[in-house]
Amino acid sequence: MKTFKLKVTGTKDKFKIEYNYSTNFGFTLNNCEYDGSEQERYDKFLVDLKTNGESGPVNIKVNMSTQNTGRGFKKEDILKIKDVKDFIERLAR
Amino acid sequence: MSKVDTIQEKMLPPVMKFANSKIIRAISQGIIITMPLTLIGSIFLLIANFPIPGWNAWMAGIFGASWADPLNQVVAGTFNILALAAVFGIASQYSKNEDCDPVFAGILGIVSFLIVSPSYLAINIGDKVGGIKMTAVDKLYGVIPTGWTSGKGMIAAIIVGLLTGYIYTWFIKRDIRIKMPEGVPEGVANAFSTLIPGVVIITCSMLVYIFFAVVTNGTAIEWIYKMLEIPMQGLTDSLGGAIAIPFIISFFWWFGVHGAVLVGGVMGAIYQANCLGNQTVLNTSGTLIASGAGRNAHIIAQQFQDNFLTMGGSGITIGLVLAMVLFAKSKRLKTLGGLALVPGLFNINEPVLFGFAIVLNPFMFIPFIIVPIISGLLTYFAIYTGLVPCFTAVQAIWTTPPLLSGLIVAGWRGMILQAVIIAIATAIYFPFFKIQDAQYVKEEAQFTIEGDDSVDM
Repeated sequence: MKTFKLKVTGTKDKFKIEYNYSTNFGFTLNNCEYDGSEQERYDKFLVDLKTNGESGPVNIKVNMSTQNTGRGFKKEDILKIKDVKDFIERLAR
Repeated sequence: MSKVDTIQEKMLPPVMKFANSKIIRAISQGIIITMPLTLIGSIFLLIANFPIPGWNAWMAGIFGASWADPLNQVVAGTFNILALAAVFGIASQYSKNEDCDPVFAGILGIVSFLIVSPSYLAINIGDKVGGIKMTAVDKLYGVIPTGWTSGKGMIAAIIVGLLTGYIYTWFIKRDIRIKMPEGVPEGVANAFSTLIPGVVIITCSMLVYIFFAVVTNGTAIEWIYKMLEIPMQGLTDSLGGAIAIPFIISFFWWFGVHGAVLVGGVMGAIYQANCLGNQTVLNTSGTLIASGAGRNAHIIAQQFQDNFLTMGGSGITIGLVLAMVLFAKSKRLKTLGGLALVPGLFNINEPVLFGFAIVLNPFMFIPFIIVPIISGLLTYFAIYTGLVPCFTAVQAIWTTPPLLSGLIVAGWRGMILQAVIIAIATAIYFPFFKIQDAQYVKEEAQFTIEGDDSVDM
């Protein structure tokens, strides 16, 4: 099973999400090589998370120009967010 | 909706809004600029005052009686400008976050701070000025008193830094600036752009100086120190603070919000002011007293959070890691404990927070909250009763391993206190760990049986 760690940079309008996964509790991170637009990559992440993700929370590092407070979200909460822009908005709440 | 969901929906949005506000981001990102200065200064201060009996006499025997003077010069050069560094950091970071030039905003912050600061040094009877012993109280003008550019100026540095950053970016973003023709080098163009906001900021600072000189017969920095910094130090440097700070750190971490960064961002200036205040008392009177009528020292300082509340990681999860290493029966927790031990010794515990998991796991809420509060109470009372010495300006970077960090910031008694706290943390986490471990053992056994079945089929 995979533990996911995301890194979000940029602004609310122009953001970039880096997807990483680990199979040893986050000690070694591997890049998830999802292709496409941010929405397409997020869609692939949701599928990967649903299929292969650990039941624990997802660690999200935030280093945006508008916020820099990292978050942890339940797997099931993330799976409910289908639009990547809603996901970015959710980080600030 | 569960209680957890309710808190997430109701409490976290305003907290996140606060943590991500322009003001808090500028403060937390800006004040971090002082960290290298405090850590480098700490090394020299530690060498000058190494906590080993006979150290001073031994060094004096080798290098002479003034052996510590060069070290103290470094200490003064780093610690005594912390408020100036903070005002630069905050003003520049505010400006940077608004996509404006950070350097000029930072420099204007320093200038404004100095304008509203005292420019004289109060001379007392018996003080030596230029080798002459003073026989009357006097004022020495044309100096920058370093007392106000260090700990006593920390809150003023925040206010001046934020106001400078705000005014500077207000002008630049509205394009109210001198524009240079195309082809002029960027550095030159930026320097001219700064003129209009610079004149406004410096004029405002002068007006503030005049106002406080007329109304209070002092300066804005002195007024802020008396009216804001001292009350804020009193409010947080208390038993209530010793409980509230660890609670807030763990509470927000449990919800997946980096509590230590949140608290450190808000409290950083107070922590530094308290450390430096203690060092000033030590330098002048030689003794720090943390309780009673003669109390002259602060208990809650940077070291309180970095080396006692969050040692081994937020929640003092090093106790949980030790339980895993020593007693785990499940493959999962054996592996996690083995992997988490070394990072845990350097106070890094994200793999435990997310791998155990503690974040958003209701089962682990109680030990994760209780352990740091117990640590806060023990540390507070240990210092209050004099069992452990008060913290000084000597600081250990937050990644310094427990025991070593205790030795550095509070001598051998600090080291023993840390060992006791780790033992208590292990004991408190243990029953929760055992239940979780038993659960994993069961799951792993089930998984093995299912695996065997599938092979047979």
